[in-house]
Amino acid sequence: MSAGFGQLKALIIKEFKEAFRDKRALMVAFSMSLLAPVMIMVMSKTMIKEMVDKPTVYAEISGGEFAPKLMKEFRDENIVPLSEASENDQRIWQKRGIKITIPDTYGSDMVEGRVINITLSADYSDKPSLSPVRRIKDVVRDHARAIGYKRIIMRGIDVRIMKPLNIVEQDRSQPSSNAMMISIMLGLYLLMGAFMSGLSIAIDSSAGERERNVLEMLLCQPVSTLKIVLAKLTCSASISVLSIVLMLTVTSVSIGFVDLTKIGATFNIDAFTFSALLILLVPICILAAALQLFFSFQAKSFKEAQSTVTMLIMLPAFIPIALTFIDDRPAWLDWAPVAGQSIIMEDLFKGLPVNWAALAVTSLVTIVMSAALVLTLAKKLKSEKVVMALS
Amino acid sequence: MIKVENLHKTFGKDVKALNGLSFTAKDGEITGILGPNGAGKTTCLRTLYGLLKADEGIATIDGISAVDNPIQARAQLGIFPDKFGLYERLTAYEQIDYFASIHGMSGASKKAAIEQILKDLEMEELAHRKTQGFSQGQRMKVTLAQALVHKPKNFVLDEPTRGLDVMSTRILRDYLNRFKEQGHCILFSSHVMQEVAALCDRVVIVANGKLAAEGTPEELCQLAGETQLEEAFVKLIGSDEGVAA
Amino acid sequence: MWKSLIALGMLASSASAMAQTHQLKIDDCHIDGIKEQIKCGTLTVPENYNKPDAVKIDVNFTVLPAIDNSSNKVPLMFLAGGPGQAATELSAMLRRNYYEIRKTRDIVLVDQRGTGKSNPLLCDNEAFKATNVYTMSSSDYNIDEIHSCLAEFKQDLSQYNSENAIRDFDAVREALGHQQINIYGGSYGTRAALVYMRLFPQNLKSVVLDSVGPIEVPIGPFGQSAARSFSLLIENCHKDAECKKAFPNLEQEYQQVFERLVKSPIEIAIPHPRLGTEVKFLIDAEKFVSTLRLQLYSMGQRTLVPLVINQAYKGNFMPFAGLVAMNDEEQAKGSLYFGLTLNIVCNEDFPLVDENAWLADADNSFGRNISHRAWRLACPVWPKYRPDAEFYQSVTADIPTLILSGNLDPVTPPANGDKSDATLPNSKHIVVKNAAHIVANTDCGVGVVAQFLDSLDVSSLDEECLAEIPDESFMTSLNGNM
Repeated sequence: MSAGFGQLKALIIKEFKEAFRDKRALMVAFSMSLLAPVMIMVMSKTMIKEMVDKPTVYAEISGGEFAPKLMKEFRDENIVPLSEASENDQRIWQKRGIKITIPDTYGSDMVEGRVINITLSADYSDKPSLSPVRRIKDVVRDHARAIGYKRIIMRGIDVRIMKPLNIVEQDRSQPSSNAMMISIMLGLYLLMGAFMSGLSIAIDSSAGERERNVLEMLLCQPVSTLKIVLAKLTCSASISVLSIVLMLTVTSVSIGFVDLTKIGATFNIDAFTFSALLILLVPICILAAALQLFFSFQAKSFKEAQSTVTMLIMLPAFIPIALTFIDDRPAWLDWAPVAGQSIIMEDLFKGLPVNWAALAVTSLVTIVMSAALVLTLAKKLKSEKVVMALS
Repeated sequence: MIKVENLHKTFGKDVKALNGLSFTAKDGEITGILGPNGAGKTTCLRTLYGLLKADEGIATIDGISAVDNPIQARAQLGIFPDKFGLYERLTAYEQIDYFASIHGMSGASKKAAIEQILKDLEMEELAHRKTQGFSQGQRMKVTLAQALVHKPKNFVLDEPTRGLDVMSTRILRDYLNRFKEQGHCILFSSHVMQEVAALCDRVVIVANGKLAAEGTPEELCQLAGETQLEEAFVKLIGSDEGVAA
Repeated sequence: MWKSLIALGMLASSASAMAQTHQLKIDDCHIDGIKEQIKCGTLTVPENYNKPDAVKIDVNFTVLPAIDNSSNKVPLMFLAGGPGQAATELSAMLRRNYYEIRKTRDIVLVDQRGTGKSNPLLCDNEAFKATNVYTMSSSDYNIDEIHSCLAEFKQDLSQYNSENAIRDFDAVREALGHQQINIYGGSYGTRAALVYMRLFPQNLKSVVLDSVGPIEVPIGPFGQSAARSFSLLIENCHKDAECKKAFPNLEQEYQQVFERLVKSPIEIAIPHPRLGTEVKFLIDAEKFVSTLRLQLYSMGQRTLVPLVINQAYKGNFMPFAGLVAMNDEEQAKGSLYFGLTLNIVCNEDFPLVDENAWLADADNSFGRNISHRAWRLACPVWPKYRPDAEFYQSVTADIPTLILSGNLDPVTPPANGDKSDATLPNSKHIVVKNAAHIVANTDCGVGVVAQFLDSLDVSSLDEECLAEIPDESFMTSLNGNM
């Protein structure tokens, strides 16, 4: 038995040596873990900008002098006459051409209580114009409402009669934080990382070895195909796990450079989340490696292996997205690989208690599926069909 | 000792690769399997490695059935495959070490064995270089070393000289002769006549999946009434198809 | 008509070792005006801290969780005004206004004992409810109503004081597991905060005093500060060309209406502002002054004051009726629990004001002594307790303290903030030109507080936006103006 273990150890060591000397494959493996944090950083920066900043809106305002109070409200909301824009901004906003027209009768109409038409002219199909248009409308509406309330008070009427019904909303969901977006992204990247990172290594150590004529030699050796598959699986899965650890670490560090507090969000991966994520994702890494080896060992060439196995990558990206479209999730989805993990990951990021039972079941299902793949593959490698395909 | 008895192997419906092949390769002898392309040489060897299962018949290595007990049978074998590739990201030493470990060697004995084979093959300088970019001769040496590091009693070579230059071929021959003197059983498949004539103690001529003739090169010439083995070979298999000079 | 009793900051809406004996209950809950779930809880504390095993009371509190769901930063405890405001009833308003602070901090709101759901000192008496704000005369105070109200209280009133309130707050802090906490006090809340600073300085990370009511300045005589605020309003109106043009004689018009009402109250028939049916609307000087005074607290309401005065002068009291309507019924969150208001003011402040002080305060050209009457009637009959002499010492705790004052404030003028600023070693006093009572009720004000809580450095605040708050602009016609 110890000899058998020594054999497996030698197989595994060799796979690791080869993997770590394959700079290109390693780069592919860890590119995800380095790119994802960068993506997350960029996305969160944009998100913060969108949520916090009220970018200046430049509009052609004619008749502004007739309504100084309204103009002040506009200015408070960073809506400014086009004439005040810099040359560059002027060109952009000139083209967008948002026009506000205030009639010269504004003052007298206001005092006499007539309806004053403020004309807002814009290209409503122009997407960048939508938010400025909405903001302009909000300012006018709020200003008008404030004046309306005051008029009613001044007539000796209780303003509350303007609001016969009031809806009291009670949201029973756990409040989710603004960091949710980041968590969702990270979750997706983690799943993809788990699936993708070992990919090159798996293909290289299977289809690649076959193409380099080293596989036959190995199959002729006094070693069981199961051990061969296990060694390659261990290597590929370990690279994925490593990649995920790297991704989590780099994300933790890089997100520190983003001032999330601006939008009321903090994001840190504490030791608990870190370990829970690892427990969650290690089975996925194993399943991914098993799937990749399974298909690339059976591919006729390195090229074919690459294209077949690349399709596998779609799986993790597709499942969580598909999940969001399913309103009533069937119960078995909680246990299905990838889907189950993705659901638990969501809970984890939401700060909900982890459903350890579901975690255990999904992990078990995932591992069992991986084991089935490994055993089938080991058996297939003994088959004459595979041997005949070697040359 | 490698023994093949009455091997039958059919691929698909009616492609008979082996049709009752029998022969014996004895210890201390170099036995050559000579046959035209498609005669069943590779199928025969793969059956010996336990990669293929014969429909009928038995193949044993030192009395161990390659069919029933392939792993144990392989442990008795040193294999030099026809298309040998190397792990190009490993050094020669690591590659030899890898195969030694697969054969269950470990510790000091493994180390000693590797040192020994490196010395035997005069490849100490090569040992710690990555095998990427090795010449054909260097690659051959690494392949030999990995096949022989566990000192197998039996040594099977599948078309070993294909693609080798003259020098490498000579070196290989020298080694094979040395191993023979040490009492190893060497089985050698080839379709190159001179090689077989020069190296082999016994020649097994295979055609259409069965034994066409068997004996020392001289015996075969006598058998065919020819002075040249090549002529004898052509006569014995009844065709000159696929025979290289 | 005790409703017209106005203490400090009732309009904030416009703006221990015994831990083991305290029992904490906390759970998710909904509170009106907040869609998402927040935390509600109670902590059981002794009514009398010197008798921990005697009567227990439940102190009610809510926690608005930080938006980022983290507990990385030290929370902010909000100390409400009044005295008598229930902090938890301000949850919805604070959730909206304190967005910048809530991003990363929990906000803890504790109902001061005697308010809200912390064993409230509630009078079930009609006189203490604003059920008939139109017909009632403000002047017919009836001391029997105070007596009947007192008869309803089962509590040991001597325990419903500022110091015990702070002991409760600190117990909540400890029960929630916070080693230290930041406190924000607005209006009377600043008084509470100062008491907190004296009693438990080690438990405070930082303090914000917004519109300060220091211990040195008793609550009650607000005649001078209200008059100051009102004259600033007239001054500001006259700085504005349009307002000056519309109301050139505002001061005189006010005085004339006031004189007329002092002479004899006016009674007119109006459509009930809410019901639409005819109702008798009684206007007396007290109702007029106290309603106007109420408008002086907030920048938004101040814009209406000149027009209301001008219309009243012309004989149109409908705009005034509209203002009164805003106090109709006990609707507003953050209304006072008068039992507690009287209990604290009559014992902790009233005894400090002597006759000369009352007279000096009445010597003003806005409300004269009108705001004194309720105190001077109710306090003499209210049960007595006296705080220790220590209670009246100036507070000198070395805690980063941000002091905010609105220059237009009708109750806690900037001079109050100067008093605290002088005795506190690590403080900064910011006076905001165009703010009234409570500064931290705008994005800018709350932003400065958030900044301070993060930096704890009073010297490096970027308070520019406070100075940029625009001047008052007034409504000059019944339909508004351009």
